[in-house]
Amino acid sequence: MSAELELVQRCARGDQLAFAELVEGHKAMVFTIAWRLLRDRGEAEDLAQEVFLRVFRGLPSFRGEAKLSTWIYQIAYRACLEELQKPHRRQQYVSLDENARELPFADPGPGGVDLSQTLDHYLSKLPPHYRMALTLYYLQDRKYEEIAAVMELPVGTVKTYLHRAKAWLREHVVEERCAR
Amino acid sequence: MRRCDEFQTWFAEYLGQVLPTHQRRELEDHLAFCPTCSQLLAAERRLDQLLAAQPLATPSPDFTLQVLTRLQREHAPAPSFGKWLLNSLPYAASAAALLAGLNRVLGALDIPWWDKARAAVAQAYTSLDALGQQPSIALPPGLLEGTTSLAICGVLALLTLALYLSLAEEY
Repeated sequence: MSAELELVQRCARGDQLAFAELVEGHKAMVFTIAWRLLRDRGEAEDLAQEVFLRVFRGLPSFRGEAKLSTWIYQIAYRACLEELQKPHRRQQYVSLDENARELPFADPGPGGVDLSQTLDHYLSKLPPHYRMALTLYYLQDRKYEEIAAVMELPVGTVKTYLHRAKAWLREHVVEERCAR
Repeated sequence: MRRCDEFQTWFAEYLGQVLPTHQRRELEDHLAFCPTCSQLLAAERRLDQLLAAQPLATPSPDFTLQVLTRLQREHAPAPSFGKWLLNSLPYAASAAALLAGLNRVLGALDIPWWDKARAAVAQAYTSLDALGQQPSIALPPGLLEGTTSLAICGVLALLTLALYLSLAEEY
């Protein structure tokens, strides 16, 4: 039996030390997902805690068919999407989907700050599924199959999201800054 | 012959060094004579570096402890009906005592509307009696009269407050 599955079984039996170990191992990534999608530290912390409670409840049904991390990040992503669908959360994002009518993007961006801050500003304008794909791509060793499993999408769709998101960011973050 | 936009969709995999060899060679041949794609690839490489440099966010130091606390709270056994009843008894007793004390104080102050209210209750009791429906709870006359009853009211009120505070902390 893998160490991962053994840890899951100890957690499912109610071993709190084992569950603390599980939380410690995945808290940074779960919090990063919540923080990058919700853009509010307090809300991200609260949601990340809720994710681990859902993980605990779901542990008896975890069969080890997917990696534990994939399963946990899937729960985190779903929880973020649920939160973002709440009425008070309605936010305007730039439209990158193929069939969407492209509207002129008039945001001038933050002036006089460094590139990473500019990047952060424009990342916040991307729709959540594009942000999630980018987050997982750079924090999960660029493995398309795992990103696709977490987001429950075909690999081709993930590649398309990444390509569109990067092209848009490249245009607004790198090329515009170089042109100034 | 591929178009530039087709080659540009390969950039991510090229930078991630996962582009199949034959495609990588084809792209490199194209870059050798296409300044537009070369420029775009340089910009994409810069963006790639920026995105890869973004660190993991760090939750608060007591994050794990908070998760475990929430978990314990969620799995704490729900209070039984018997426990709830037992917890409620002091509330009920103190509420009755407070009402009796209030009755005594307002009675001593000789407030006309209070006297009228008491007379109405007495009338209701008499009417029920006349119909042969004796109220099930008949307080003996003179109960909770005097300073002792007021002291009991005060003690019970304090007991209620202490119990409320301890329960509020627990739940």
